[in-house]
Amino acid sequence: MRLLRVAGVAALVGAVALGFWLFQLDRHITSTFEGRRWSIPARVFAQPLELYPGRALSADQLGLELERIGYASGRVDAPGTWRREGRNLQVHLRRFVFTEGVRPARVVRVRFEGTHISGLEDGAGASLALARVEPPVIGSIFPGHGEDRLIVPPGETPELLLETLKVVEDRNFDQHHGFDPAAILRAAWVNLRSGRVEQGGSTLTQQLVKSYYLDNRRTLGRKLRELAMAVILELRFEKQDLLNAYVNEIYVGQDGARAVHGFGLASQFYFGRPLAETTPAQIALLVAVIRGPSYYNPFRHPDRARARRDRVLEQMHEFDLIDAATRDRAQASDLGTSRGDRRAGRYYPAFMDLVRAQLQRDYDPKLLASSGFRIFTSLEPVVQESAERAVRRTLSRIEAKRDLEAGALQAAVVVTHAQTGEVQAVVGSRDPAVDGFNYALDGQRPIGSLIKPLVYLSALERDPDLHLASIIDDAPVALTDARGERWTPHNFSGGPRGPVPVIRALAESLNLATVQLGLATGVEPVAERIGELLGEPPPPAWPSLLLGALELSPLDVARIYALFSGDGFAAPVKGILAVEDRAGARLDRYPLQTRQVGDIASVLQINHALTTVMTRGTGRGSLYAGRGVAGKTGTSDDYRDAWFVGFDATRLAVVWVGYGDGRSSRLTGSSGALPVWDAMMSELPVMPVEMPLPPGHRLIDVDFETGLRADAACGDPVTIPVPLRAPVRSKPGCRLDPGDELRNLGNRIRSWLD
Amino acid sequence: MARLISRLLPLAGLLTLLAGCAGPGSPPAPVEPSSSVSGGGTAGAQPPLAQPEAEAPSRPVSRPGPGLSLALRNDSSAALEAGDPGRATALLERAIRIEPRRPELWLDLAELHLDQGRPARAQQMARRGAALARGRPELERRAARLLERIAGVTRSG
Repeated sequence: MRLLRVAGVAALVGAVALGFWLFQLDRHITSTFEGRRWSIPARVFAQPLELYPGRALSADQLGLELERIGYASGRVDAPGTWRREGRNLQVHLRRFVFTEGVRPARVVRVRFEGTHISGLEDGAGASLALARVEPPVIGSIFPGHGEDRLIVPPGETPELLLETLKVVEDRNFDQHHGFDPAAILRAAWVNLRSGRVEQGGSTLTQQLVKSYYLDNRRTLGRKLRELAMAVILELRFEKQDLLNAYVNEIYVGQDGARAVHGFGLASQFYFGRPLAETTPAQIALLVAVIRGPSYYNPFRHPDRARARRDRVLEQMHEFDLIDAATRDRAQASDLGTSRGDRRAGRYYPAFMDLVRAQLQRDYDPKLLASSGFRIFTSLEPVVQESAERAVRRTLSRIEAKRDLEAGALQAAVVVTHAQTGEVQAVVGSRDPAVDGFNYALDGQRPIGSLIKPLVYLSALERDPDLHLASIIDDAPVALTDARGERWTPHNFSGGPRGPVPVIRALAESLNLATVQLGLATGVEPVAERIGELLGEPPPPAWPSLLLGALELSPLDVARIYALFSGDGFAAPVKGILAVEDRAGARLDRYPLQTRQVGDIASVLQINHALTTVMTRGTGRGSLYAGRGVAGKTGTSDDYRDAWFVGFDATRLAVVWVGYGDGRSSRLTGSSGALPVWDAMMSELPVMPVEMPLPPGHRLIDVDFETGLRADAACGDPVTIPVPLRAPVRSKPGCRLDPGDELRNLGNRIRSWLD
Repeated sequence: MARLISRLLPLAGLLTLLAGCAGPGSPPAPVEPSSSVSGGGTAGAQPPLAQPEAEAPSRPVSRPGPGLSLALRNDSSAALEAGDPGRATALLERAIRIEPRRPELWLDLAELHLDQGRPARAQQMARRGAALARGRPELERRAARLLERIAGVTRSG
């Protein structure tokens, strides 16, 4: 009797303990399941490739771009395919939700004439003005645990994948309640016979539970826990939900430091293609890999992967999922893996730094990393890659040529759209794959002569009689500051040049003339304009500011020079164009803005001078010296920082070269930074800067050295704009066309009569 | 008499000069036969002081036809009429990204901002458009009228 009672109490206690244990498990697994269902990283997109008649793009280039985002060449009967037809290309564009709205999947025909698109038509043959390929994903913003997934919504997983999964991993999925005793017994039997673990007995549900925990210990206690949790999940949720969670959760591989979870991302990772576009052979490979993503890694162990894939294909045929012909074709085919999407450049950490910095201001980081936001940026992959290549090759070349320590020089590049301020590329360091210190955004270095155009701009604005041919004095200057310390600047090379025209002082970057002019105009206007352009309090207006004793990042320099590339209108520099939520609803737009930050006529004169920098001045060693581009070199004290800023009609670029630890590189802006810019621009189309005549000005030829009117016979002429009323003397010994003198005289008389 | 003539001669010369010049208000012809809108190159044959070692490659340049901006402007108007000003703005910005020096695009954007109650931004866009419109009287007039409208709104707003 007592035994029975004791047994009864023990049973009761046991039941309570069990109940409590189950209750805990229930809470745990349910909250995990529901929480993970909603944790989706943000996706970051680059600029889409625009297609229009007149666009400089060859058929080959378009094909490459399409392959890069996973389009398959062949028949164009489904989205994500393309076909070459002689000189033309037919593309079945995928559906995409752009920031302006949904673009349904559609067929376009692109006609080419050599280097350009000559025509564009839709599927019916009607001509189109414009179409675009959906933008590539360039990065994701993850929650801290370093996972990545591309969510496949319920109903969008290919049926064949779901059926194959069940056949291979869990034949009784639709019937069991979380675990499958028959499967466990069968697996035990097979493993016993073969002497090794060939089959698991776990259901998909159990695997799902297992995937929620990093711990791989296969203790009995753990297995029991997982079994219980699997049962709980089956009780609480629908089979469809569990299957969909599995599809998105299962661990499928490793991408460097990032774990790849879910078939959506697995498809991108292994094949560079969306899951919806996978072939039966590829589906078989995806299912094959689950059993051991490292062991069956198709990149590292292609033979093993292929063998297992072929076994899966057998099973697919055995269970009537595919016919014999499909199986044979699939088994004969290559693995179909593509590393294209996983190039070092695919994730652009330096540009992503800019994106993150701009987002952090407006969004909670946790929300940002888990709500599946879609972030549209201004990155241009072609420009980015040209910049990266230019840095890599040029630095190596410079180090070899000058016998410098190999691999030690650093560089940064920022490229922006000349008129809109949109950032097209950011190179943060010499090695673009490394997510380390970002010299483009965070490296603050003295800008040296880069400041001079601002000095001359203020001078032109404040003195209506000053113009590019005005003579200023490149003469020694000495200042004593409040503490009694003397500042005696020198020219970079050579002594004082004496009287020089403004155009020459800026083109040759003469320090003394700049300081003379700057002191006469005042340093405050220069400081204030810098503050205005950077959106910060102005720097202190010490005289040394005139020679660039100011530390800025390359990104800041881009903000300043936007004023020049925009003809007096500075557009704020930005990397993000729009942010949307997962459904495509607009959360935020960063619209186009611009602001007039200088007197237009004065800015146009400075731009003229900046082109003369390239034809005659410190930039004349450039490959583009005669091509109508504008630029400015800069070198800081002791050759620690080599700068070059250049722009054409399309884009503005800032280049910095130096050592990370700040030691001298013995490089100047011309010898260190300008070659990087040359190398980058040589891969891009270059259009001369448009230089309208400043209002109220005329063009004349003056001798570059003296600033006096001259022609080729008696001097070294440059063409510059000067105010209509400005008298410019002729160079002695010049016999100039009197017509111009008379016209000038006529202008002056007319102006008196006005 | 001789003194009178000697005084008049320069005046006659002056008058001849004036007659020979272009009419009042028109700009004098530039020295260079080309209109020199493509860079500050030298007038004479003197080469730059240091020859670059190699020729710069010439990558093909994109030349969109007028159809492109027309299509985007039309789509933008349609979006606005359909009650989606966000989309209308995005379309104009897309056009400007491809063809940033077309004044009509900036002016369209200015009008859009003005109608959406953003006169400050409208003014920025209109000024940019006005600067790009120099030399094209019809567009200059459109810009000037728009700037007046904006000033009126700003005054009364």
